[in-house]
Amino acid sequence: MLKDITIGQYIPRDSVIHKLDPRTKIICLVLYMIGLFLVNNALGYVVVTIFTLGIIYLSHISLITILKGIKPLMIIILLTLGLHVFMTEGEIIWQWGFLKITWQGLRQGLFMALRLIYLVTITSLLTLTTTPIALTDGLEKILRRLFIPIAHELAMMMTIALRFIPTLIEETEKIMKAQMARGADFESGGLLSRAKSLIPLLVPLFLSSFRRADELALAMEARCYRGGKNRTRMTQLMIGYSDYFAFVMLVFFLVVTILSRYG
Amino acid sequence: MPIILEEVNYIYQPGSPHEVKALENINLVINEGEFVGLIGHTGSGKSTLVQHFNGLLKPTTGKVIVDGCEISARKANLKEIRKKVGLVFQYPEHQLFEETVFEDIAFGPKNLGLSSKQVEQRVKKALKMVHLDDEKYYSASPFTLSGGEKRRVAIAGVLAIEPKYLILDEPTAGLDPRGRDEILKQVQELHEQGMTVILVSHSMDDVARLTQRLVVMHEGTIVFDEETRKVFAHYERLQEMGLDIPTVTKLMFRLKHKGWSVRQDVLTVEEAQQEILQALKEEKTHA
Repeated sequence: MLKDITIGQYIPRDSVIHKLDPRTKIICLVLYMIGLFLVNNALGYVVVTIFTLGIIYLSHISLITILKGIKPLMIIILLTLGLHVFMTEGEIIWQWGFLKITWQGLRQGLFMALRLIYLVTITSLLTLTTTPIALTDGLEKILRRLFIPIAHELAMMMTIALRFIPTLIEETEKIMKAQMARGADFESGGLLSRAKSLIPLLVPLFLSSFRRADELALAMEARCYRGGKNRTRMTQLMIGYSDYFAFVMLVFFLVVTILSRYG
Repeated sequence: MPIILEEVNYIYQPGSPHEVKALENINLVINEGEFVGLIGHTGSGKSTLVQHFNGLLKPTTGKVIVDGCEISARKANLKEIRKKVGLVFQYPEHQLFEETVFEDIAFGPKNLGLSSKQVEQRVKKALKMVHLDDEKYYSASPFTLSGGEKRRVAIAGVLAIEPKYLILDEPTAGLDPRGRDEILKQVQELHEQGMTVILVSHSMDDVARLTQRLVVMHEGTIVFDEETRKVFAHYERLQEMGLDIPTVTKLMFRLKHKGWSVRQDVLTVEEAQQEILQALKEEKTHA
């Protein structure tokens, strides 16, 4: 049940995408997103689809894994699709009472849904192919280049948050079981009683999170942690040929998407 | 009626690359009125096993029958089973959540749908069982208590359900010697009052002192299921599994090794004292 959550999961594989510098991957992600939001016609989406499938193929990560990551967001995607399909004004192709489907709505809805799906796909690909440490390292470097003063702290916060997701899930399951052993019921009843039934779960969870945070802070201080000042790294990030190739590909992708819109 | 496990297998995340076989072919009967110890190395499957007793986990294959009711049956009333089988998890104080001790212990009985009067009776009785029946505890916040007291409150929270079977998973972990002795003494008392107790533990000394029957687990299987006294005769096999034997028993093994004629199935200091004195006497008469 809770084990299905895949946010921030990393799957080790031996692929070109895995070997790319994290900075490359983050910047390419931003470029990809710009391209994705520029696209506004069927031809553009065909290009995006081919490009995305290509990246997935190169990453050696199975399509099923990625689809599993999209599954929890299905409701939001369907909602977006529905809203656009039924709410857009235009050429009516089907009508029943106040409900109507327009040609423009259908088109808009499909495009928006696809956009969301690709957005989730590409971001989960980033975390699936990059270790959390490499990811935050890259992020820190980029933030520093952008002259953001607390780059290290931001990156550190992200690492810790990612690191504690599985711990938190484990803890939740444990407390859930303990309360179920005392007759708690998390699965039946109305909305209100269900919300109420979460109290015995949330209070201990918050308490343990605070306790953990406290302990972690103490442990870090005991090892003389004092932020990113004068900090050196064991593995230095290096930009190589494949990184340049990735940039070239992304720029090419951007040009194609711009052409598909304005050309 | 007993708790019966027949050919129980349990696999975590079956079909995924993270598949782990946690229990393998477990056959076990826990009779009413017994005091059973369950020991094994970390990861031997103890905690997985005890979660089958009250239906928190359901066997991948095999049957678990609690008082004639099979837990994986489609119509199994799990609430009824959890009323009969109380499970105290490791570090149970982490599950405290209410503002007062009284309210926290009342959580279980309230879930059973009892009247507020019955709930009050049960809470008071449960607190008495763990020797925290001073009125000052009723309205205290559970988070202001000491570690040992917190744990006793958490145990009382399970006792208030008035289970027939009580399972304690490492109830003494992380407590100071005094807290540990108190908890164990109270568990002993509960057993004397007629409760069936299953004690999961690392500590051979505790298990040896309290239990009559001992189940030893290793890598998801039951290796020994015998009278406690007999289990420790398998000293070498236990050591292979990374388990120890009680300190006094170890002493007797050493003495025997040095040529003393002493029994080795000794579990308490008193017994050991008797044996050694006996051996000394015999030596004198020989000489």
